[in-house]
Amino acid sequence: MLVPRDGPSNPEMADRLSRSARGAMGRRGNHAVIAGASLAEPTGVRLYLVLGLAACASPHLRPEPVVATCSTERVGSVTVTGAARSMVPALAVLEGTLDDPARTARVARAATEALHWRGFAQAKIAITKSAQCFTDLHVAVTLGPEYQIAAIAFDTNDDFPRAQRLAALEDALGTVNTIGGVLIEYRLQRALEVLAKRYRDAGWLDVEIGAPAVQYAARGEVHVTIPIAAGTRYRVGAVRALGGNATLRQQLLAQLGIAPGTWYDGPAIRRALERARLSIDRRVELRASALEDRHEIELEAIVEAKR
Amino acid sequence: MRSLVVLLVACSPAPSYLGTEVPKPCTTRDPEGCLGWMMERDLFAAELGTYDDASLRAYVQRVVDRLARGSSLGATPRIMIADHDETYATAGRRIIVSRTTIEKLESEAELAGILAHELAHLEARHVLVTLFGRPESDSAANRRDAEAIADERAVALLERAGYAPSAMASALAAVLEQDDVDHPPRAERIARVAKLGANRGGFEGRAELLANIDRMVIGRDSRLGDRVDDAWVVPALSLAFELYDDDRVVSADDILVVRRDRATILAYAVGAPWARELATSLDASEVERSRLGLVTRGTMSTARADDSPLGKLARAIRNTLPQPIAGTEVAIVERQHGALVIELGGKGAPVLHMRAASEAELVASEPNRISIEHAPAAGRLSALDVCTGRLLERTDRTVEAGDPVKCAAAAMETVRGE
Repeated sequence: MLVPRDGPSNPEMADRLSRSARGAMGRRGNHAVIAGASLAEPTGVRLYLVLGLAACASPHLRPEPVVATCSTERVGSVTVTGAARSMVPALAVLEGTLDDPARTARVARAATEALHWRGFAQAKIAITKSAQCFTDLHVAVTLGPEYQIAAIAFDTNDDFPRAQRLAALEDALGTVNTIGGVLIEYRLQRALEVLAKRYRDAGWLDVEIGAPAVQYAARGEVHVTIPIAAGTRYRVGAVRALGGNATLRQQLLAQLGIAPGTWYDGPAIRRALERARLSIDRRVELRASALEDRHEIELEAIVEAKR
Repeated sequence: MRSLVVLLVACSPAPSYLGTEVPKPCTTRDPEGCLGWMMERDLFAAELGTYDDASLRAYVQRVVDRLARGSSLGATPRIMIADHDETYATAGRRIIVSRTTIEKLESEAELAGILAHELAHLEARHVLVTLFGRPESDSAANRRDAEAIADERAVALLERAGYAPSAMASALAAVLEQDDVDHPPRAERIARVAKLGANRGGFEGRAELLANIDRMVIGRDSRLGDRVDDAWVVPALSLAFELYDDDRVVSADDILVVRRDRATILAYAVGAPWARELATSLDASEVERSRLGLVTRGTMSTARADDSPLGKLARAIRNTLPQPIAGTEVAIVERQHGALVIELGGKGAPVLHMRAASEAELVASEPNRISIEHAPAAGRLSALDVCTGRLLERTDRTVEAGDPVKCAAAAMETVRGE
C-alpha cells in the first residue's frame, strides 16, 4: 500500500494510517513512505528490520523506501476481505499502479475465473473504492464452497479402456479434470475432443461424445458424467499395394505387416508407414477408405505415387 | 507383504526429464513448480541457452532479492541469465534475464526496474492464465493489461526497495525497440511509468552495475556457432564443420544452413542430455564411435504419446525444444559438453567433414566483451578521449574524472546514442 506524503485529511484515514503504518513505515517529518506489499497489517516492523539487515549486507544500497506523492490517479492500498490476499494476487498487485477502472474490472473478471480454477466454482468478487490521498481498492471476495471432482463416469458400454479415457481428460499434473482435482469445464471440453480422436484412432469412427453432465453436490463434490455413443468398431479390411513391381509391392505389404480383420489401430498403422518409408521408399503413401456397410477400413499402400 | 511393497516402490524407476530425476513439485501436484523446473532444465540441458557467469548471476540475484522483500512473494524468485534475447518471468517463481537486456542498461536501478516488472508478473501469477486460461482469457487485451500492470507495479517495487523510481522509464526506453501486440505501445508504457516515478530520487547504482558487467559478452555470443574462414566453428563443442567452395551458405551463426549439391544440411548445437534423448529416439539408427565422439545416424521417429500427467507436461515442453521433425534423416555427434544435430534434407547423400576446432579458430570466434574504463577528465563523453570507436554509452553524457565508462573491448560496428 501507499502512505501519503501529506497528513491524513479525515479521521478514518488517520486511523487506517496508524494501523497500517504502525511503527516502521511511519512518517518522517512531513513525508510518508511506501510500505511493503504485505504491510497492511503490523508486519511493517518486520520489513523495517529486514531492510535494516539488507543495509548492513549491501553498503552501497540506501535502504530507505522512496517517498510517494499523493495522487488519486494512483492506487494506494488494496484491502481484501472474504479470502486471503494470496487468493486474488492479480488484484493485490494493483497496489501502486495507476487507477484504471475499466482495467480493474477486467482484472477482477480474470481473478474470479482464477478462483474457479482453484475449485471455488461459485466464487464472486466485488470491488469498491474510496479516494483519499490515493485511490484505495476494497476487494470483497465471496468464495463459496471449494469443489473437487468426486467421480467421473462414462455413460457407455464400449470396450475402450477406462484408464485411457481418464488419462485423456486429466490435466496439469493431476490437479485438473481428474478425481480429486478441480473441474475446468472448457479444458474438459478440449480433452474430450482429444478423447474422440483416440476413439477414432482405435476404430470407433462414428463416435460421438456428448456434453458432460456436471453435478455440484453438497460437501464440495463434483460428479461428472460423460455420455459416449461409440458406435460400431471398425476392423481393417483388405490391404493392397499399388504401383511399383510385384516384388516391391510384396515387400511393401510385408513391411507394413497390417493384418486384415484386426481392429483398426491408427497409431500402429502410422508407425508401419514410417517403417515402410524408411526401408522401401520415402514416397510411400497410404490411402484409407471406410466401408460403412461392412464396418471395415480398406488400406491401399501406394509406392512411387506422383507428388 | 509390506516389505515387498516397499521393495517394489524402491525398484520402480523415478521419473526423469532430460537425464535428471524430476524434483518434488513434479511428483506432488505442483504443475507451476514442475513447469518452471523443466523450463530451467531446458535452458541448461537442451538449448545450451544459459550465460555462464556465476558472479553476474549472483549480483542480479541480490538485486531481485532486495526487490522481493517489498513484494507480496513469500520467497525470492530464482534468477537465470539467458543467452537469448528474451527476458521473462516463468512458472515456479523463476525470472529469466537476457544478457542482451542487461547489456542495454545504464544503472542498477534500471536493472532493478526490469526485474521488478518480471517480479510483478510473478506476484500477480499471470502465468496461471497461460497454464489454465481459455484462449479468450489469454487475449491480446488481457496480455496488454498484465504488461501495463507489471510496468506500473514495478515502480512501486522500486520505491519500496529504495531505487530511483524514474529508472523504470529509462529502463523501458533502453530495452524496448518496437511495438508488439502483447504489450501496450512503447511510448504509452514509458509515459505511464514516467508519470508514476517523476521528480523523486533514489538509489541509481550506475557504478555498481558497471562493475558487475565488466567483461560480460556483448552482442551475439558466437559460442554456438560462427563462420571462421572455410569452416563453421562451434566453440561450445570445440567442433569445426568444413564448408566447401561450392556450398551455398544460407546461415552460419547459431544454426548452419547449407545447400550442398541437391542436399540441404541444417546443423545446430544442443545440450548433451537432449542429444542423448534424440539419439535414442532415432529409427534404424547406426552408431559409430569416432574421434569426435559418438555419432548416431538414423531417421527421426514420431514421439510416442505418454498419457501420464507428467508425460503430458514434458511433451508440451519438449515440443518447444530444437529437434528434427519426424521422418528427417539425422546425424548426431555427441561431444563432452553437448552435441551437434545435423539434419539432412533434399536429395543425395552429401559428404560431411567435421574435425576438432583449432586454437586459432576458437580465438577467432571469441565474442566481443564489455570493458569498463574510466573518464580521464570531467566533461561530455563526446569531448573526451575515452574508448573511441568502442563507446557503449550516449556521447552526450557528462561524467566526472575517474567515472566508469561502458566500452566494448574491441571496436564496434556502430556506436550507440549518436
